[in-house]
Amino acid sequence: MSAEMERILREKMENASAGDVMPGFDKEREWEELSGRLPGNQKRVWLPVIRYAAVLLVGILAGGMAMQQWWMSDKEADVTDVAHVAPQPVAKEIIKTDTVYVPVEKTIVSAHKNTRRTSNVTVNAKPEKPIDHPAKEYQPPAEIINPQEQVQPIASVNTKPKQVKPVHLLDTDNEDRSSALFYNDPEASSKRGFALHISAKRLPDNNNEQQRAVLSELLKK
Amino acid sequence: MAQKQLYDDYAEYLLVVAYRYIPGENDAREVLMDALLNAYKNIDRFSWQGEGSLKAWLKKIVVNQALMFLRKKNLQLLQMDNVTAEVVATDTDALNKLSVKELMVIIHRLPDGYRTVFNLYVFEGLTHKEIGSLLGISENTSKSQLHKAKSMLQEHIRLTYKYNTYER
Repeated sequence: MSAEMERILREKMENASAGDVMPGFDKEREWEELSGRLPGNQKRVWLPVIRYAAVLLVGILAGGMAMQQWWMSDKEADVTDVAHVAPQPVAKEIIKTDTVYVPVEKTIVSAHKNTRRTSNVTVNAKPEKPIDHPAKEYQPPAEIINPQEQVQPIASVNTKPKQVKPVHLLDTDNEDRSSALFYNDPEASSKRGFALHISAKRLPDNNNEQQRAVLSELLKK
Repeated sequence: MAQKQLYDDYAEYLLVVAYRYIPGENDAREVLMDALLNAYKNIDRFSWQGEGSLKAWLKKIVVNQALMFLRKKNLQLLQMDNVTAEVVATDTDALNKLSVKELMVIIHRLPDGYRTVFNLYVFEGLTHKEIGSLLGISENTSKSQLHKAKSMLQEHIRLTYKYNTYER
């Protein structure tokens, strides 16, 4: 390739337009794309995003602070409720026992206890004056004024508990005889065991007929 | 707007420059875009040295961007020290009668290494020493690449011209 050819080639290329070599080239469209990537315009692209992010952040912070305030005021409200509770009278309750009256203290739960959570309670508010609930004067029953004289305790009859002779299960020799299931001859057998469980009135001594009737009735069952 | 004015004045010319180095249209457009972004960023480095200095400065940026693109694509430069290719004499008429688009297609047919050295030597006016240091090759390699490129180009020009004449 001669120098002349190089020169011709150079001239042709220098004077060529984009449309000659690349017919599909759209200059304005390329500019729009390029301008979107320019440093100055990149900031504009990010600006709305940053703005939205800032608004969102502020919203989250404000919400968090409001939540914290509500939480703290809620706790303070609980404390104030306690301050509102007026001192309650203490009543005495009588618990009756068989012989002795024991007065014990009974705490009355206040009906004024506010269990609802209130949000409009100010922290530094002066606590209200406690409501004066004059406790009803306790009038003990007349019988305990002088228990020695007037109280008539319900005296229980001290009956002697029945002495039930336990069946010795380990006594294997007489185990069957001791049980109520064993019966062959009421006369021959002793009245040990079964007879002990029958009251004396229902099973008198030397009444074999009645005893037999009772036993046979029980065995039928 | 100064940026738009610069784009309007030089975009088409710079696109042709980029397209000489990069055969793909989209790749060439991308190279042009990156080069212009670089130019806008570094406009403060440009010093006015008379008429045409801005065009030359922008062209240099586009060429550098194209070379970077080719390096990313692993530009293959054949190491040829002994050049034995025969340069076929071509009539200048054939060259004159070919359109720019046809010439561009012929240049695109060259291998990457040949095309790059040919562009740098013929259009950018660099010496073989400069080309060697720019591409990281020896001076002789640059010479051989150019020789091969010219030979191949002349052959393609001749064939294209022949084909066009036969078609008419």
